[in-house]
Amino acid sequence: MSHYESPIREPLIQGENITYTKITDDIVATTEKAPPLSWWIGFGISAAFALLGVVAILWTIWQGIGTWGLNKTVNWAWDITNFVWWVGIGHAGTLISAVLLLFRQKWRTGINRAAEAMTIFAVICAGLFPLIHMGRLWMGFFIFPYPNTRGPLWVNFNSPLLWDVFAISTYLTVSLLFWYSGLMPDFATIRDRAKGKVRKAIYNALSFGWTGTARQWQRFESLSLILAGLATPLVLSVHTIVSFDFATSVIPGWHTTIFPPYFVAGAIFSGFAMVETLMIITRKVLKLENYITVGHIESMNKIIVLTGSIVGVAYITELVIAWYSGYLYEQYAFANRATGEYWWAYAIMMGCNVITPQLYWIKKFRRNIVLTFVLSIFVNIGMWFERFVIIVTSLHNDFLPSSWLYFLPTWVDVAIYLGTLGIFMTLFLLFARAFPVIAIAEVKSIFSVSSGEARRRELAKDKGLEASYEGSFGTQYADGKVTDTNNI
Amino acid sequence: MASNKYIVGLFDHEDRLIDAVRACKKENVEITDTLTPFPVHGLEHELGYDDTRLHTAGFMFGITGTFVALSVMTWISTSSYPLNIGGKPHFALPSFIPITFELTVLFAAVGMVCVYCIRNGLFPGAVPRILDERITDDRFALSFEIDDHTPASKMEKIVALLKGAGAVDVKVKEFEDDMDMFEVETSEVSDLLPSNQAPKAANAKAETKKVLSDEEVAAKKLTLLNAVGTVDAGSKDDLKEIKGIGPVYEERLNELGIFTFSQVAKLTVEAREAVEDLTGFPGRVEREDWIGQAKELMNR
Repeated sequence: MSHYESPIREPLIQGENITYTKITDDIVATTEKAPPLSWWIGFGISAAFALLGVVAILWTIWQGIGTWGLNKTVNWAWDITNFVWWVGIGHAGTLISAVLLLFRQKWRTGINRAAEAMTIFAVICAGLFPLIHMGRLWMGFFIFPYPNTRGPLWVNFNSPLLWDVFAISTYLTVSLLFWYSGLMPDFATIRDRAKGKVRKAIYNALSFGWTGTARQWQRFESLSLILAGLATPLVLSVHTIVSFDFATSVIPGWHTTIFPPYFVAGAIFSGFAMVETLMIITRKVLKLENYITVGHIESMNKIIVLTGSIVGVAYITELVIAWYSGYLYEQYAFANRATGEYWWAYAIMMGCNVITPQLYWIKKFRRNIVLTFVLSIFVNIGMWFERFVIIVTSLHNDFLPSSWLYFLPTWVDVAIYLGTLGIFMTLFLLFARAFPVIAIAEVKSIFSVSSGEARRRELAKDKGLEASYEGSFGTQYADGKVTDTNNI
Repeated sequence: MASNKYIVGLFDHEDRLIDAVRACKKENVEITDTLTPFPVHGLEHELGYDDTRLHTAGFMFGITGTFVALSVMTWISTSSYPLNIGGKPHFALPSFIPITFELTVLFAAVGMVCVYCIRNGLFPGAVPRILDERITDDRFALSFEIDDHTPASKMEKIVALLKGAGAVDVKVKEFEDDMDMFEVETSEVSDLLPSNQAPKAANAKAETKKVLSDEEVAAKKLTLLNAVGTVDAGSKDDLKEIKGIGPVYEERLNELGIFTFSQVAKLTVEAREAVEDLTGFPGRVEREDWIGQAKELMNR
């Protein structure tokens, strides 16, 4: 585990007199104190929207999906748009935890817990859409292959829609396991601080009786690493498979090989934007500015500008390839996308996803919290419209001009979408209230090797003691060999 | 778990813990457990642990998933339900790949987490032995199993080792077999300090009592009861509510005639010494602030 920590890098944990206890106090405090008024207001609004969504979903199940704005031309619209949008948002959490863990990016520790929670809630919201789109929700289990008395009649293993079933359910399960295995030690921390018996019993049950022995930690580290290794290709596979829903069809504008990488980049892009939106609010409301620092936000903005640019290149590639293909329908589909009846949606998509994130090439903007918040909302909007544009513009003007239609959503479409936002925020607020929003143990471990180190170096520099402090802290281990630099 | 009694040394920095582990290795003292608030890198090497085989388990589960997915899909598509889809082959390996991949990951992850929980003894409702509540906060602990047959010289050695390595606290923690987690908090924690008395300290209760002559015991009891006053045993408070007093200790206090919080709150310096001498736990009343706690509990 030897690594080189650049002395220029700013500490990942800010603030004065950071100790292990202070980290525990700061993070656990959010679960111990009564929530602030802002939490209650947010919870009330979210719960109201969630209720609206539940009503609309029940109405859909009762009446059928004829209550949506779908018609024979546009037979897929907000439902699949919302599904893809939510799945995309659900990509950042596991990406932050898994990919950044494999790359040893220590800044992930401040945000991974909340991002993983967000992932799980987003995937739950996403999963709602295929289910209610079935019309007969009570037959939802038909999508799984199980021995049955209908023949047996099996599912079609060649269908990307079935692959989606496996991809989303696997993704949800693995994300949940990854998230929960990391939570156990932190629940134990809350348990050991708990005053009341009931609270202690609840958090002990949640912690699965964690004590923190060296064996447990050894297996913990091994588990995290392997789950990260498994989750990394998984996270890439999920949106790849979602893009197959479109790419394997023969609709102009969908039938392209660029879709998998383009969708994955878009998913990471939108996921990070949602993480930023939530984290900027969370750090403020829960007073965690010392753990979710401007440095964290800057790092995320770097990923946003990278993935935003990939998405931009993909948009332009699509246009160029459509022109280059010499295929009339493909050319029409893209001309119609950019300049047809839905030009405004295309403009929002281009503006929010490709143009505004380019501001992040400038360091001052990357570190500006207000701007980041606004732009993260822009990206969320832009990425929703990206899916809307891809889906609706390819369908509304189909092969037969007599059936061309302009799609408009009904109140049910809108209410279900707002409802999932409400469900998502309600779950997130409950999480922020009862769970440690930052991975306590992981932050402590980077504090001991990274921030602590940087801080000591800084302190040493201030006191002109650089030389004497050099190499006098920490114990470094490489390949199991131990170099003791710490002779107390 | 052969024994229910541990000597626990607490450190405030991972580097000191590692020093202590090395010292134990050098002195051939077997460490029962090492507990830390976060994974301390290199600790498992110091402790001489083998690599975990969790990854092997993960691989086995994963390959099982691969096999299950491929064989079930092949059987269904070619034998149980051969469906003609545009004249394409029934055994369509490329389109089996996504599901095969997903199931490989799913089996590996679920199987590995199950093994992880089983091997670590983690399940909802597990009753952990919490050696110190700050281990999940900022303390790094070494524990050594002891029992009634452990030679005093060994205990002395352990205590000396821990103190030498810079332990901020050294204590004995005893668990009872049938106790639940809540009793752990208030269980018997006898102090081994001061360290030069270490070998005797573990048996302190018995020995201190022996040392005191009957007259001395009577005198001390008198001092104690003069200070705190006598009450009827019927008006008894639950002294266990004071942090640091366990069921055993409560009983001992009751034997001495202390039943209520108000009595504890009235402990003068002399009375305090008397209690500690009679029960054989020096320094605890002050350190754990029983008087303050008792006053608080009285004013509830």
